[in-house]
Amino acid sequence: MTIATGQDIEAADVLALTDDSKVLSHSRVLTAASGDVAYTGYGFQPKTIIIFGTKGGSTASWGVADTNLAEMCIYSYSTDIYVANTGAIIYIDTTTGTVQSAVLKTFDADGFTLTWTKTGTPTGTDITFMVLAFGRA
Amino acid sequence: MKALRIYYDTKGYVTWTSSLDGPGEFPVSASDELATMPRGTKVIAIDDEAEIASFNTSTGNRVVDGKLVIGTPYEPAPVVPPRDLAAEVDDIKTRLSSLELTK
Repeated sequence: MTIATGQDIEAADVLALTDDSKVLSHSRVLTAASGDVAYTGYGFQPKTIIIFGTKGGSTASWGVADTNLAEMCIYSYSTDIYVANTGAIIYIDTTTGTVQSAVLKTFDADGFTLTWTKTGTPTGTDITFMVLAFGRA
Repeated sequence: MKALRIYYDTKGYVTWTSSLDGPGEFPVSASDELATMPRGTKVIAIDDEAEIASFNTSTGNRVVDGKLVIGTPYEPAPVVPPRDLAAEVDDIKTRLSSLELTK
């Protein structure tokens, strides 16, 4: 579908550009070294994604990214503490100075790639994160 | 499918990893990734899930003669016992009951 410059559009036209979505769950070993991870199985190339992640307890992260790979998240590392972060789509702060965080590197034909960075030596329960991806099949 | 590419320098130290979590193939070829890395970087690929798990939960991994040598496993995380809220409430009640109110 193509929308011409100046063309009137309706909500249905916008929905048609992102008319597919899929939810998948992934995990990340807390001790894993920094690197790229390609997540596949979505069946289309996402245009935007939303990621919710946690390692349990009061550690969690809620992130979003747009079609231009701009991203941000809000994360929690303790009860009633929430921090905004504009440099990552997921940020799991386990204890002071020990973090697994990721930025969105690319949207791929069947999913997306995250670049993970391990800071310090995080240990404990692995990260579980859910992804809601929007795109067009 | 899970697969892991391990990039290492001329001394066998792991410099970067690239992995696949899901069906199909890597979206980027190893040669394309190598082209972005320092001269002398090499890569090995493994797809044995047990070996990948060992790699991800160990420190000091090396590549020697083109073979992965797993390092030392990380110490397991300390197990934090669940809070006994009922006991904490009882403790607070006991402390409160022993307080003397003064005017």
